[in-house]
Amino acid sequence: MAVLPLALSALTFFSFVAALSAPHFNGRWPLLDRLIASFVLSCSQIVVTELVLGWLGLLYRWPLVAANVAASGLLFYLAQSGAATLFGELTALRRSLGRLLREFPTIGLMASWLTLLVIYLAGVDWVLPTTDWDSLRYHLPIVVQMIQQHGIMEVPTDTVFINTYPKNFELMFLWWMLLSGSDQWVNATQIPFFLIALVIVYRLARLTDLSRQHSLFGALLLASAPVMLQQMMSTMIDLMFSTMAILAAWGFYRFVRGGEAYDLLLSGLAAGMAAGGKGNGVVWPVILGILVIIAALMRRRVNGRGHWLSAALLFGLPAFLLSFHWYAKNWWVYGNPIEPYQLTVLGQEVFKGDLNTYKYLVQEKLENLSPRVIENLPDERPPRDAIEAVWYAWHEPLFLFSAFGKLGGLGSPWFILLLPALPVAALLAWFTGRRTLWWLYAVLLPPFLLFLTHQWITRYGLFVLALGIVAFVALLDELPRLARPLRIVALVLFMVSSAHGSLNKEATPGKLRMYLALPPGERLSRAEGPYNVNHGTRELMRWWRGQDTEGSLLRYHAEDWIFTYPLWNPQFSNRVEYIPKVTDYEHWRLAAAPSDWLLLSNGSPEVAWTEMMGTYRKAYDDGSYVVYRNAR
Amino acid sequence: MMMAPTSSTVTRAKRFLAAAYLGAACYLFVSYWVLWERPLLSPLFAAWETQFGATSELPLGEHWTRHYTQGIRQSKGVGLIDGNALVFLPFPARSGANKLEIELRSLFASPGYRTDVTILINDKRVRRAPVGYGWQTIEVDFAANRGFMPPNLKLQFNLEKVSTVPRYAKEEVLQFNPGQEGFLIWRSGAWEPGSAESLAAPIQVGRKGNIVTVGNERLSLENWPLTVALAPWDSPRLRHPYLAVELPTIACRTIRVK
Repeated sequence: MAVLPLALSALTFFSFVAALSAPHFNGRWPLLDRLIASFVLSCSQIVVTELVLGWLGLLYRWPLVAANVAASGLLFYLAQSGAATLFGELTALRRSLGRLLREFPTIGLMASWLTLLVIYLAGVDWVLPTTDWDSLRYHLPIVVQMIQQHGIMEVPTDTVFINTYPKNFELMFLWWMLLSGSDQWVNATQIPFFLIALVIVYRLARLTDLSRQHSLFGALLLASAPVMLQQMMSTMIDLMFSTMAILAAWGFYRFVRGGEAYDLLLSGLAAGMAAGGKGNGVVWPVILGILVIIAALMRRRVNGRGHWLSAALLFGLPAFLLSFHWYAKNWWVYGNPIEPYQLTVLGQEVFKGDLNTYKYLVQEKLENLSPRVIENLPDERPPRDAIEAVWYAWHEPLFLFSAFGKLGGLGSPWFILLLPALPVAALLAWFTGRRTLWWLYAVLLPPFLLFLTHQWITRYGLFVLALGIVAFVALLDELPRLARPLRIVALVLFMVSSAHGSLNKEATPGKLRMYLALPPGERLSRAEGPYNVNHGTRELMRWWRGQDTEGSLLRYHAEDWIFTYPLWNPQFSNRVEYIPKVTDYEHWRLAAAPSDWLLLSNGSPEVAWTEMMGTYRKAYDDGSYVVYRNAR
Repeated sequence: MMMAPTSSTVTRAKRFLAAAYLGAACYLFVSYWVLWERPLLSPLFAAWETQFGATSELPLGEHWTRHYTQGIRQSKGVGLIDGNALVFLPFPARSGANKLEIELRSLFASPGYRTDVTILINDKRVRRAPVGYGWQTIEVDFAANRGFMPPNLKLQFNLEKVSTVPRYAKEEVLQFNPGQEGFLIWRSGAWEPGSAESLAAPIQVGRKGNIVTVGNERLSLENWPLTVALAPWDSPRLRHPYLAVELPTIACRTIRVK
C-alpha cells in the first residue's frame, strides 16, 4: 500500500508547485524556490489536516485521503495554467542541470555518488525495520497511539514524552503509516527532507550571489555529514527539524534580499513546523521573529515599503498556529508547557519539571564522554566544559556513526573546511560588499551557538551545515586561486566521509540477508529485538511476534519495560494500553480485567494479584517478564 | 554609512584571510587525520600489521585496543566490555594459526545472576560459554572461518537471572532519592555499541573510581566486584526485591592467536 501515501504526497506537493507556477507568481519565483515553497506548504497541509481530524477523533485512512484529495485537487484545478507551464520548466531544469554536470565532472561525480547513496539508504529502509532507541521509545509509539485512538489525545503511559512531545514531525510518520497500513519504509520519510535541504542550501548560496557551479558543489557537501545520512535510516526527527530550520532561514533570506510578504509567510510556516516538532525548535520563531522586525524596520527606512507589524504578523501567525497548541496543551494539562523539563530563568524556577535541561543535556553528556575520547585528550583529563567536549568530539574517533549523533557526526569536511570558513567568509563579506550574507549568519549562528553551549547533540545542530557550506562557497568564489585545491580536498573528504557515514551497525550484510529472507510484512522491529535492549526484552519481543494478536487488547505494567512499540502487531490491529500503578488488589482487578493479555514484571505485586484473579493463564515467563493470557 | 574599502585593501585583506583560512584548515586536517587515530582504518591497520609480522598476542589493555576494537574500553590493563564487542583480528595471513584464546572474567558477580558469552566469528556463532568471576580461558577454533579479510570476532554477553529473588552476598546500603522506587538500575542511557561515544556505558572507570548510575544520582564505588543490595525500603517492592541490570560488564585480558 506504499502507492497510496506516495501518490497522495505527490498530488499534495505538485498541486502547490502548479499553484505557485500560475502567472501571478511565476515571474518572481525561480522554479527551485517554488519547489521549496511547495514543500513547506504541502507539509503544513498534511499536518493541519491530520491535526483537525485528530482533534475530531476522525483520524482514519479514508477521511485523511478525502481531506487532502479535496484540498489538493481543488488547488490543482484552479492552477491548471500553472501546471501547463510547469512541465516545460521542469524539462528545462533537467537539461540545464545535465549541461552543468557535463561541464563540471567533479559535480557530476558527486551527484552520481550521492544518487547511489540515496538509493542504498532507501534500500536499507526497505529491508531493515526501525531499531533506534528514541524511535521505539516514543517517536513511533506516539504514531501508533494516534492510530489506535483515531485521534490526538492524552493516553495513560509510563513514557511522559508520548504525551508531551510536540508532534508535528510524528504526524509526517503518521501520514506514511496510516496511509500505507504498515511501518515498512517509514524510515525513508526523512529522505525527501534531505533532498529538499540540498535545494535549499543551493538556493541560499545563489541568493548570496554566489556562482552556480560552486553553489551546487557546496550543496552536495551536505551529504558528507554522517549523522545526516544516518538519520535517513531512522525515524528520529532531527533531519526534518533541521530542514525546516533552514527553510525558515531561506524564507527570511529571500525577504531581506528584496522579497515580499509571501516569503515571511513561508518562513513562518517552516519555523512553526520546527517549533511544533521539537521542544528546542522554539528558538527559531523567537530569533527569526526579532530579525523579521529588525529587517522590516530597516527596509522601511531605506525605501519606505512595508510596516514592521505586518511583517511580524505575517511571520508570526503561521509559526504560532503550527506550534502553539502543543505547548498550550501541556501547560493546560501538566502546568508546564515544556513538561517534563524544568525551566529556570536567572536561577528562578519558572516551570517545574522532573528533568533539568542543563543537567540532562549537557552535564550527562560531559560525564558520559567516551573513555576513548578522554584517552585521546592531551593530558587525559575530562573536558572542562561543553565547548571543549564538542571540540574533541568533532575529531570523531568513531568506528561507526549512528542516527543518535551525540557529539560528533558532522563529518570531516565540516571540521576541516566549513568550520574555519565561517569567520573567514564573514570578514571577507565586509571587504567584498557581500554583506547580506551577515543576515544568514544572524539567523543560523545564534541557535547554533545556543545549542553548542547549552545542549549540543550533533543531530540538533545539523542546520549549521547550511551556513558552513554557504561560507565555504563564498570562499571558493572570492579566492579563485584557492578554489581548485579546495575543491579537490573537499571532494576527497566528501567521498570518504559520506561512505563512512553511510555505514550502519544494523545494516550489516548478515542482517540484510536475514531480513531479505523474510516476507516484507515480517521485516519488523519485532523480528530482531533492538540491539540496545536487555536480553530478556529481546526474547519477549521474539515470542510476542509469534502470537495471534489480531484484535486483542494487551495491557502492561512492567516498570522497566521501555519499548512499547514492538507490542503492536504489523497491521496495528491490536490495542496496547498501559495500566498506571495501583496499590491494591481491588483496583488491579478492575484495571486489568477486560484485557486479553497482561504483560508484567516478574516478582511484582501485580503478578500475585493476577494469579489471585484466576482468569489469566501464564503464557510466557522468562524470569524478568511474565505475560498472562485471558483464559476465557 | 559604512565606507567601502579600497581595491588594494581588499586585495591585501583577501590574501591575509586566504592565508588564515589555509592555516586553520591545514591545522584541522592534521589534527583530524593524523594526531587522532582513525578507527575507520582499523581493518587496514590490522591487515598491514599482519603482513609485516605483527604480534600474535593482543593485550587488550594497551594501545592495540584503540585500533581494532569497538565495544571494548580500557581500564587498568584490561578491556571492559558492556553488551557486545567487535574485534578485528589481524591474523588472516598468518600461516598455521588456527586457534584463538581469549581470557575473560565477569565483573558482575551478583548472586542470582549468570553471565555467559557467545563468540561469533564473521557473524557465525562458534561457542557459548559461562563466564565466572575468576579469569578463565576460552579457546576457539577459527580455522574454518578464516577469510582473506581480517575476520571479525564478536563477543556477546548475556546476563541471565537465575533466581527470581536474588540474595546478596554483601549488604551495602545505597542512598536513594526520596520517592524513588526501591530497586536499582544501572541505566544505560542511550548506549550504542556501534560508536565510541556509546562506550560511555553505565559504569565508567576513571581515576576517581567507579561511577555507578543509580536512578538519577551518581555514586562512587571503589572496588570491583560491584556488589549491591537493596536498602530496607518502605515500599511494596520490599517484598519483591528486584535488581535490574541492563548491561553486564566483562573484562577481557588478552586475545592470543595460536
